[in-house]
Amino acid sequence: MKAIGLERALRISTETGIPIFTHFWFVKYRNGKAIAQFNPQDYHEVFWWQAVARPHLLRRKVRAEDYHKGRFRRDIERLAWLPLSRKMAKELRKREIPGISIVFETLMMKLSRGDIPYMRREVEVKSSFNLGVRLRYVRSYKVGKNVGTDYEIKESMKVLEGIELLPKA
Amino acid sequence: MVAAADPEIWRAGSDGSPTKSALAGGPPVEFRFKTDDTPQTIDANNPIPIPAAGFNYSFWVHLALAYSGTFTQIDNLRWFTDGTIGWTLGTAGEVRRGNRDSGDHGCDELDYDIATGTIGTSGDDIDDGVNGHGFYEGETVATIDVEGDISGAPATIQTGPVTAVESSHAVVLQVKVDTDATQGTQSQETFTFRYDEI
Repeated sequence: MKAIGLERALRISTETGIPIFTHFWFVKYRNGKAIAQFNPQDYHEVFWWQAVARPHLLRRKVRAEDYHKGRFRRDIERLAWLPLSRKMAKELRKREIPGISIVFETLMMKLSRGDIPYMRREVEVKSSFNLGVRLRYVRSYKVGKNVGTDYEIKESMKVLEGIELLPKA
Repeated sequence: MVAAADPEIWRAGSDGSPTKSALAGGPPVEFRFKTDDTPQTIDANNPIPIPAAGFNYSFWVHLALAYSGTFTQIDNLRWFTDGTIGWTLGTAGEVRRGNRDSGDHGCDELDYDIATGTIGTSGDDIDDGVNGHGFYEGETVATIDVEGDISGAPATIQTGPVTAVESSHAVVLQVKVDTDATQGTQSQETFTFRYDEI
């Protein structure tokens, strides 16, 4: 499938060091509300920790340290990696973020109350001893719960496997 | 924001405090094994001579990732090659990396050891008992042929997590040349860093 905007995404990735990606994360809570990685109005990005961490004291805003200290919201219902639409990818590229719309698979996981959320992008930075960095891209997306415990469940979705469309030297 | 990652080389400076050079997208060419501590300078100076006996080594090179941008965390940094290094380094010649008997194989900045050797002749062996790399020499298996680090079995460089803008741990590389090596500029060979990020 032709990836519209791939050449521009490659250029942006080379200039910024940000890997090319195809999906964004999405978190849904039990009260029906949800948060996406990118605000659909202005494409402002939300940090992952902002979506899943729980403040130590409920009267203050959540902080990154809440995430790093393992304090997670207990009302997360679903985690999902959703594919970028062509419009969304184009809007991101306008903002010098190398998104492309190339596949339409979704990866999702349902959480029970109190499950510890887990999501990761698996990134590859391909380089050469002779020619320097050639390519940066998100190879696969991972979702899971309670990772590192006896109750771990983890799934992954491979999207880009060693794409060979390298910029010419 | 999705984190940005740029390969960089650590060199010169002093033990525990390297000078960092970005390995930018080419051209120009940005990385070469030599018998001096200037791998970021691509020229014909101080190539690795073929030894009459024994082995010659390049000065070792610290290769890391410089993380930037805004992100929640990065972990599980791994490194690998395509499994075949087509360089004519001789029967027992190889491209090797520093290896630890247990734990992560990457070298922290604080454990950086400046590359040493005889300029124009040979770098010191990573595993040399006197002048070797302090983070690796003395390990039971101090170096590993990088042909063994492949996509399905990459070398774990840094388990992490990394939660702030900084450099990753470094993979320490070195070329070993045997007496029956063939001289000349070697072919392009790729390597890959792989990590998890959110």
